[in-house]
Amino acid sequence: MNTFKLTIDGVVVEAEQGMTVLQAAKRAGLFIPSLCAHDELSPYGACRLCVVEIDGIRGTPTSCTTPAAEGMVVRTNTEQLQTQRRRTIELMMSGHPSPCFSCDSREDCEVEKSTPTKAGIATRCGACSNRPGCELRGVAMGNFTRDIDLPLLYSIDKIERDDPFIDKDHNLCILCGRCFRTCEKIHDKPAISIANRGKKAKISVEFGKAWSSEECRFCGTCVDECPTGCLTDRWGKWFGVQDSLVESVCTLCPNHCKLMLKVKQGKIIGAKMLALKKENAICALGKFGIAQIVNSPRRISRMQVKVGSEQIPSSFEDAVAKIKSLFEESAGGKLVISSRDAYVETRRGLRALAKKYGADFVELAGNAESLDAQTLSKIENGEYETVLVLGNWLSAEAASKIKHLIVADFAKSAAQKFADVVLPLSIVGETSATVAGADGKPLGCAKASEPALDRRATFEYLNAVIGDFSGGDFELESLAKDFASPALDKKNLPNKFLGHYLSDFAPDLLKLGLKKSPEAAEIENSKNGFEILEKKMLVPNFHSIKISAPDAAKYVKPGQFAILMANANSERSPFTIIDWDAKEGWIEFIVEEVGRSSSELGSLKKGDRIAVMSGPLGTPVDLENFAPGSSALLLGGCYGIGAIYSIARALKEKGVKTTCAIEASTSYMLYFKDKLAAVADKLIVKTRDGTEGTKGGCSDVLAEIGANFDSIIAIGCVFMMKKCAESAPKDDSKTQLCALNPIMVDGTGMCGACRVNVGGETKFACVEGPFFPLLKVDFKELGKRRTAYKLLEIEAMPRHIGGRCHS
Amino acid sequence: MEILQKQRDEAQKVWEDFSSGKKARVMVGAATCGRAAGALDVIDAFKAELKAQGLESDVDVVETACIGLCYAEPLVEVRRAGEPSVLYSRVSPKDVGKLVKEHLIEGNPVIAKAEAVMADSEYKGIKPFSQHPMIALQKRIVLRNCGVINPSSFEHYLARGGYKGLERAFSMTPEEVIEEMKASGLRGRGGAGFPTGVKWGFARASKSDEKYIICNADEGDPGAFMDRSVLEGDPHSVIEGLMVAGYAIGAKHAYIYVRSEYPLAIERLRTAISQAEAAGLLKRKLENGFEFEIKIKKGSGAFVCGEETSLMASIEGMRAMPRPKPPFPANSGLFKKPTNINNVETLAAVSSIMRDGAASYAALGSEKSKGTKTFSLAGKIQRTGLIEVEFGMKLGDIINSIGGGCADGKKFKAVQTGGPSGGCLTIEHMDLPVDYESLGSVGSIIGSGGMVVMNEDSCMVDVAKFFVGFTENESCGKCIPCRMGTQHIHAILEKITSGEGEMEDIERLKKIAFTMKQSSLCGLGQTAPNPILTTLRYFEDEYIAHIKEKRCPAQACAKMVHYFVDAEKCTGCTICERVCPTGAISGGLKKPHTIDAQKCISCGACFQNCRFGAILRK
Repeated sequence: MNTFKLTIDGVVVEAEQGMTVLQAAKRAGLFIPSLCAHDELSPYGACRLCVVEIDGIRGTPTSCTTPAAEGMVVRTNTEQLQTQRRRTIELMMSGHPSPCFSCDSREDCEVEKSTPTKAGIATRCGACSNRPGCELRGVAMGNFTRDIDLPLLYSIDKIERDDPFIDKDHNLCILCGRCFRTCEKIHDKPAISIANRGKKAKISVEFGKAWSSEECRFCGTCVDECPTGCLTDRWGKWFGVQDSLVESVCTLCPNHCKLMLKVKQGKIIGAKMLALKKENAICALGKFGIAQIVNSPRRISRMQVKVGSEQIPSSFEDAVAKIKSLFEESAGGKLVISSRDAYVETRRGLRALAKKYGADFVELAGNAESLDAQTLSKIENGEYETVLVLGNWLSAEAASKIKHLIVADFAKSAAQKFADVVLPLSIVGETSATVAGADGKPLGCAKASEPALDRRATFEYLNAVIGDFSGGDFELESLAKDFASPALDKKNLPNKFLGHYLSDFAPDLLKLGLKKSPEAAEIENSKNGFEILEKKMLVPNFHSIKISAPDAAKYVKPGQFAILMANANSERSPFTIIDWDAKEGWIEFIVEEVGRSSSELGSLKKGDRIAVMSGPLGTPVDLENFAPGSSALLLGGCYGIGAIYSIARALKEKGVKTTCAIEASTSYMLYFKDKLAAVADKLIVKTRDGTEGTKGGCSDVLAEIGANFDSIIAIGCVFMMKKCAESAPKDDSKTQLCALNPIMVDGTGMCGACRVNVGGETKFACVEGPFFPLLKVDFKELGKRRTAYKLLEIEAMPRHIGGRCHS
Repeated sequence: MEILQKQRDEAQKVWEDFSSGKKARVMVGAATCGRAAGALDVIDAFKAELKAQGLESDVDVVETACIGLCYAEPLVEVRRAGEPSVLYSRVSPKDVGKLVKEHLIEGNPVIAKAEAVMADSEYKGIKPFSQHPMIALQKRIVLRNCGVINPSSFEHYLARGGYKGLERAFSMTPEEVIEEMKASGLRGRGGAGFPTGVKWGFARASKSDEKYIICNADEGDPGAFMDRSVLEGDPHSVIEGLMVAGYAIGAKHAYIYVRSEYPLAIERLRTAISQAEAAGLLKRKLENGFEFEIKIKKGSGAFVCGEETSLMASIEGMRAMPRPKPPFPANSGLFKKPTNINNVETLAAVSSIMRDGAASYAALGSEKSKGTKTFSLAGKIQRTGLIEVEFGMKLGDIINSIGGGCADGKKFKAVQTGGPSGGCLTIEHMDLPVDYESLGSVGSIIGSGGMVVMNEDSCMVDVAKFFVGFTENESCGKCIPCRMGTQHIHAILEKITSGEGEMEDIERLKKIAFTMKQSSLCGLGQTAPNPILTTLRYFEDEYIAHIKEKRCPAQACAKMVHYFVDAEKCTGCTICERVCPTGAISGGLKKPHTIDAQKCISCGACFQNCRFGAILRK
């Protein structure tokens, strides 16, 4: 390799022919800020951060596009360059939702909320899944004071959430072009590029259509390379950055592509290409499907053995003994059903099992629709007494015809309740095993994650049942030869894996043309629940949902809440009632998207139904404490802006002089200004970044004027209420309340999930609350309790947008 | 060249027939400007009238292109056999009968409509064209044939010395041609003003099996129409220039990248290319072994295609986005091959320089800006049109002598040179010699040659807003300073012109402008702040009036101007009521009208249409 020398910031460094100045600096360990530059991609020169001064070259060229040359003298950090960079970042941040960045309480808040809120839309760093890995934030922090002297340009029109797997929020995009350069590199003809000009420029497929309607194969590589949170994996993003990458193999279709599994705390949280090379292309199933399937709540994890008429959890030994005895003692017909979706060891083992016990042997093709008709009719005629089935190939009816059934499977199936033995299986990335590579040669699959609980590979069970079966007459062959790679043609995605519809695990696959299971179709068509009369997105992540609930509407009082479930499988979560009408029979809620349940609610539309509404719940605000003519200060942040509305209205009716103060991260997150102004004597607006009203939050209002009021109510996030408690007048004679929002389950005081510590006493927020004395609440404990299920909450995130989540 | 020898003789005859005056002729300027003014209707009217008079075989009706007096379109030359040709201005189909009867039949030119006579001396009291105030100071090299020949006639071009430049180039080595270009001092007329010969030298020096030459005809500046006029009026001059350039750098293939908004130019180019092919100049090996092919590529009107790397991306079928240089197109351009891009005007000048020699061209102009430059005069100037002058002419001479100063007796305020990337100059710059260096020194540019004149009714903040609004929409969006900077500048100017500006906004504007100039990727972003910087430099008082006094001195900013009716002067003619787009004016016939301030959007339609001065504004 030809090398030469150049001088960067007074240091003589060596560079290779073909290197850019940026690469030469990097090689020498010198840092130049950059965003659009990427070692694997063509030079682009859009972010303008890596500008340098080079003797003999006019202006300030970008180091990522300037080839290094012998004898060059480069300066990377002069005062002018720093100013240029700072101002470029300022321009960048002014087009990016950056209120958290310029908020004075940023550091405090980030200690309190160590992980970002799982919001539907990234309206700020604190609601952006990419906060831990955001390169823009990193660069900005390293080069920038937090003052942005420019208005924030934000548009709700730039949010796109209708495509499968990928959320796109073009507000976050800095048009660095990594995504389409990646796409071009992997797929030659890029599916995406920049559409439109100037301020309307955005990453898009042709003519701004849905990505799923175009060339895009949803390989998701663009998501991996996006330096901001513009392109995100809708489900997997909240896990954050992986701890490690493990090279393994996707076994979900006969192509058996090599890929990297992303592992965090022992869990598979995603996948990516082995390297940014054309030959390593993967498909949507590999990229997004694996983690959703592996972490699906449909998985089974316990070995079960039937004792009498009941299945009970059993040990490995008991399960093995039971299988052995069933095969050995059975006098009638025996059958072993295998699948080409399984590991080579398993396929070999099942053959050996059938051979040993003289059983019939059927091996289904990968992506097979169902068992062959002959075998099925034999089962239905009761010709088989003992059957071992790998995967979901038997209907409940067929299974009921089998005397002794052994089911090995990774997920729930209808046949399982008829089984004598249920063996939970490990799948992709959970087993060290072999598959047939596309060339027909054995391909090792590494284990990336320890399978949970009893899950094991089928061959591990078989080893214990029939001993060593490594020999035998099994011939390895390529399974891929009749099955074009879905990485190249998205129409080739397999519908099933081990007999299960893949769309049951990752429903977004339906948008790529996969088949829907009969079970999913049934849930989708159900018409139970409360009809949504009206639904509005007030500001990003905040929805008002009005449902028809004539019985409940009669009893609502200000300050109450109800527990909602978007569908029968949703988590039970409390939501504040903001308005109601007993005569018309409706109740209106404010829903902030912060996790699975609220996202499901947020994605419902007018005419859809909410499965469960139990309420009104909680003790209403005791209006007796507010004397006519007295003064009250109502403080609202986030959903609290909506929550204080009904209270302010009730107080006004009573003749209380109310001042409402509302805070939001930034101007585009303020709502209800007109509604509150109509029911309050005075409205104070605060924004964290100072883009509307005055800079700061409700706690500042409290510190400034709190002492002037007879009573105070603060409603918002834990951080906001905690700050309010700190700055509230330390005067116990005043009525000073806050409304707490701990995790709730039943809402009747039975489960105890909502316990809070108020002045040293334990209270149940669902019945005794939500209102408690502001000065007495232990907010630290509350904050801790609210994050107790952090990881589980992420796993539970909806696997597709559209509410009717049936996983 | 042998192949042209015979054709030249033929051509000479055709041209002589056309120009000698042996036959009566009506020649109508029917370039885009003429057509927009109704030239095609005028042609039809002449044909009909001549037929009615039984003169159709005695009088030829021909089309020519733009002679530059766009303000006076449609322009018609009428010539009786053997007599000088008289140029009539603002001819409408209504005038045709009179022109045919009085001039063609009776031999008495219609003095009231006559603009000039196309002869060396006065004719029946009509001044010769060369003494026309708009023409007298011009030096027409690039525009030598525009409006003179029939642009669809290969013979006309040939007869007027066409392709002699190419012949002369062929008598030299490519290196000598490049030296000749360097000696002429010709600089790129697209805007950057880079010496053409030097640029060719780079492309020549690049070693490759394939090279390209591109003609940039993607004229995108609002108010600029030089390239269009040249393509419409003299397409062969560009083709000849392309061939010379191709020969010099060693390119076999050429593209003309022309915007699809120029259908007539495209049509004329197509005709000219097929004529050149039929004449044996293109698509075949010439006697010296040179082989050349020209393709037309239509662009979709993206301003950023003025940037050469964007233009090449567009030809390749990609999104038009600039890329950083190096590598320079001379090394890696179109399809990654060495490429040379020249503007239409540059190439038209090349054919002339090659014919007449570098020395005569270099004798024109100023020290560092040699030769001539075309400008399109537009805006509130009396004589709008296309002109060509020597570099170094005073700005005031262009505006006042050639352009006739401001229209309607209004006071001159500023002239925007160089389009949206240029700057606004003021009355104090009237003695400034117009050349690359002088304009650069006062913060503006020559650019491609747009000159938009503004009078006292123009608000400079509003003008700056207009230009930055243009660049905001035309920014390709690739680099941050340009995409975000134009948005912020536009928003701030919108704020100021709405009466909500703060003094800090001025500093903010300067800061953003500085960042854009320093950090933008391509010329579009680097020059987009020029209108803001120059208006801030020369008209800061107007900004301050908007911000501090909430007043638009030119009374042009709709949100700061309020309209009233002077009841004393109002005659109740109801014109204002009828032109008001929002129905804000009421009153009834012969009664004083009133304006409903709630409904009024301050568009000024009533003000412009009131014949009694009864609409007041404040």
